[in-house]
Amino acid sequence: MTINRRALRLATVVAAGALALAACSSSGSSTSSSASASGSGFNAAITSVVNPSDKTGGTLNFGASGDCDSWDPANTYYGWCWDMQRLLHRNLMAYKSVPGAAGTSVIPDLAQAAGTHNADFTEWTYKLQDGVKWQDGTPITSADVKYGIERLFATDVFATGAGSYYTCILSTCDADGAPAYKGPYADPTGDLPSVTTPDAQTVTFKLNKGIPAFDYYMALTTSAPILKAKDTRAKYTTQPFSSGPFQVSDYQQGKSLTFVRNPNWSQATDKVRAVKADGVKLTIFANSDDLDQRLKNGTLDLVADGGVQQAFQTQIFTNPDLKANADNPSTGYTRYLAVFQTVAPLTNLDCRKAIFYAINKVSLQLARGGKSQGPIAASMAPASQPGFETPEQYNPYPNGAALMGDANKARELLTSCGQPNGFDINVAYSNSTPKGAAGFAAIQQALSKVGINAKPLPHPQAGYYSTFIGQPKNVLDKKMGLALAGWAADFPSVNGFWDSIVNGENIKPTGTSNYASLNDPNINKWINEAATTSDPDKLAQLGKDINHAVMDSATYLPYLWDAGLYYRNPRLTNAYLNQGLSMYYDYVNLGVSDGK
Amino acid sequence: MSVPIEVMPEPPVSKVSEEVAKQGIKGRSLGQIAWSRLRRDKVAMLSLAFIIALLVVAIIAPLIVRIFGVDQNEFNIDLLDPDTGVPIGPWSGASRDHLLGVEPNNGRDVFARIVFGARVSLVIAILATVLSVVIGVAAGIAAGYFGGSVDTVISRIMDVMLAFPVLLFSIAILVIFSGVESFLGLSDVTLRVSLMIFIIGFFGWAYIGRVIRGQVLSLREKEFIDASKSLGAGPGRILNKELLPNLVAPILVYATLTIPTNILTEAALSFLGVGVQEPIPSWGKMLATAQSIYGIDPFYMFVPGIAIFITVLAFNLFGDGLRDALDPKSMR
Repeated sequence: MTINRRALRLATVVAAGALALAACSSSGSSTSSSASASGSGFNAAITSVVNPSDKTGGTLNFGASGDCDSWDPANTYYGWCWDMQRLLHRNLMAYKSVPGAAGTSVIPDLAQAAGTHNADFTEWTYKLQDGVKWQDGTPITSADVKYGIERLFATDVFATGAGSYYTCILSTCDADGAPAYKGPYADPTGDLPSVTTPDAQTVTFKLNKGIPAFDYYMALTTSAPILKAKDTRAKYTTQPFSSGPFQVSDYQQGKSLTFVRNPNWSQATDKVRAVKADGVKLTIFANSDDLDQRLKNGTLDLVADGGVQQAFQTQIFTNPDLKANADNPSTGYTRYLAVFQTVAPLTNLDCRKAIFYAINKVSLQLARGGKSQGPIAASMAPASQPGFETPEQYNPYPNGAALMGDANKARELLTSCGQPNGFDINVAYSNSTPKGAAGFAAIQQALSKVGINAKPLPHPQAGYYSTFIGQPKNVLDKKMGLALAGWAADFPSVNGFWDSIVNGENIKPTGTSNYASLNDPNINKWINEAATTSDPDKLAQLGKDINHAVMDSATYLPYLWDAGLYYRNPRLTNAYLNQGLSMYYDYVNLGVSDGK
Repeated sequence: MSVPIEVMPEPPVSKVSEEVAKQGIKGRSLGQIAWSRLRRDKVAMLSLAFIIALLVVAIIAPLIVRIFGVDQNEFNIDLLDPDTGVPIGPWSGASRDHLLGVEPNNGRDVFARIVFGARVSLVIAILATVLSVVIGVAAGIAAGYFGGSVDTVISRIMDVMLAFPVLLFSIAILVIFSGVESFLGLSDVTLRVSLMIFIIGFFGWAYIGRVIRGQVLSLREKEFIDASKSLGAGPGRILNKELLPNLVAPILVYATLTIPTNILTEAALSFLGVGVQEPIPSWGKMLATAQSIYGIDPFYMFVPGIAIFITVLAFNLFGDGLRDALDPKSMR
């Protein structure tokens, strides 16, 4: 899903070992070297639960630098928002609430057990538990599960979520990727025939291809059951109806969100959430440094949407007391530049390749805050992906010995693409934090050395992905050449990482995460194959093939494999980073030690 | 016996009065009087010296930068801590090569960027002031001299302009135009700078307009205006020959005092991220970057902060001194 500055999502399948390696030794970040010198708590939440406690009561105070893209499960795609949704909407399955690699496996949530399936994984059945209720006491039924899935097909209303995982496996899609079923609002029959509900507690999914990982699909926030009577469509995000331990008592869009306990949620039915707090307050701060200061002085418990800014970061690394409360994990995000091949002169492959060679990855890393932000990336696939190759093993565009740009090679390519004197290019970036503008300055400086004149196209974080760079028409209108972006796997698998960003079938005019509109039939084929394969070796090979093909197309220019620096208030109990939840703290399971 | 009438000797006459008698009395002009009074004001002269020095620096910025061997756009990544992006060493990593240190995250030389930032600040502030003065003086004279409905309309417009939320509106306009490639034949940097000059200048004319209107109102009742009128002078002649010369003093003073306000407005807009775009340096933008890092690297905040402070102070002090020098009723 899309990165929200420091949002994270870590995906581990076979690469648990590589993951531990990445987390501990992101090229020189202080994790391994100073673990003994600094506070004993540094990085503790990556592998263990910090301050385990049964104490209940108190209100959690979260801060964030922007509101969620949506509080509607069908429409939200930020990693931290998916984590927050564990407070509100329950799913059939959920990520296990433990730290470490075990956190990427899924366990039943509303369901009594994991899905039962037929031999070729095309039919899956789940049975709901008894006694699960909505916030007004209405029982949660299989009809709600079905309705939640049906809503995902209303892509004109819900364009920015992860619905595309479900639409083409539950309905026949045409050549453009549009499903035959048009969603509960627009479809003449209103009914999705591939999902059946033989009784109030049973739901069966008939998929048109085998998906061994379907339990994961049922763990994504996107598939959450929705009560039809409370579905206010596009307005649902302002008044979500809860099936989880908390419900919304007050929501000021863009400012704050207050959660109180849902009296109709029963702990007995929930093995995923061991809720301690009485309430949660999320406040949005326009100024990220203000946010950090409040975190430092204890007014806030954590930054919900990710890591801390540079000032606080440096304080953390130099102050052992602060460092004891911080965690510096690899987040599974790749930071990259989308290179828009739909806009001239980037329609020419060599012109695009010139940029790949000219770019200075070290200055891009520094623009984000140095090595503590993660190691430099040579290809799109991060360490958690099957088939991952280190930069030493695979670097298709070696841009100089120090990765600071190979201007000569870039100029050669410019000449061969017919632009020997360079050209003008618009670079889109999110200006909600200083890091966006700093990244732009680095790009501009590197490209100016070969005559490419980069011009800024800033945009606030809200809507940056959904309406700014994610709309193919807007890209053409604004003549975008490059865009700064970040991405992590939606769930731990090959197609969980690649499907949304490079599958040609996912390019929709209403909005797409395949920003550069890459449409390579081989890549599309491999991704679809990966969705139905469970053989780890085959998956690793597919992962590698896709990674190579994407890099060959010169449409996505990776520069960093993200590491986050998170800070937790010492009063928090049961704090740990959950790998299934994009390496955020597991919000719903947090408590406070002082009962306030 | 009769006493001979002797011719009395001439009384001694001083050389000076001899000269004066030859040339006739020549009075000093307002300008000369003002200049001599200004010369005696040490604070004002110091400020003037600083302003002139700053203007020179801004004009020959590329030469200065070349003499010192620095570049305002070049990244010096090796001077930054690779783990955090912060400059290595105290005083923002100052050294003989980089007298005021380097910027965080990209290592650009601070001294060079301050020098070029002076250009941006002065160009925008001065041209915006010129715009304000031109519009303000025209409006003020029209309102003050013609009176009646002309005065009412212009005064109400001035009231609206003064009440306008300038900063908010400027931010909105600059954000809208950030995606626009070219407008009215201008593009990129020129467009951006022109927009800022226009916005700052256009929203600042009401202040000068009011002052000028007040001056004109008091002047037009004076006898020499009546005298001109009775001799058949038309409004044009009166405006040019009678009013304007008497308005030069307030215009000059308020123009000089508007410049620092405009410098601060430009810094504020750049601070908020809607001013000049990368890679053009601006003192306000440097302050914005500095705020996230001042705990570790306070020097990077001091330098542009002090630059803005001293510049604004110099213009204000010079403006005050000028006002005192031009005001015939002041004690000096």
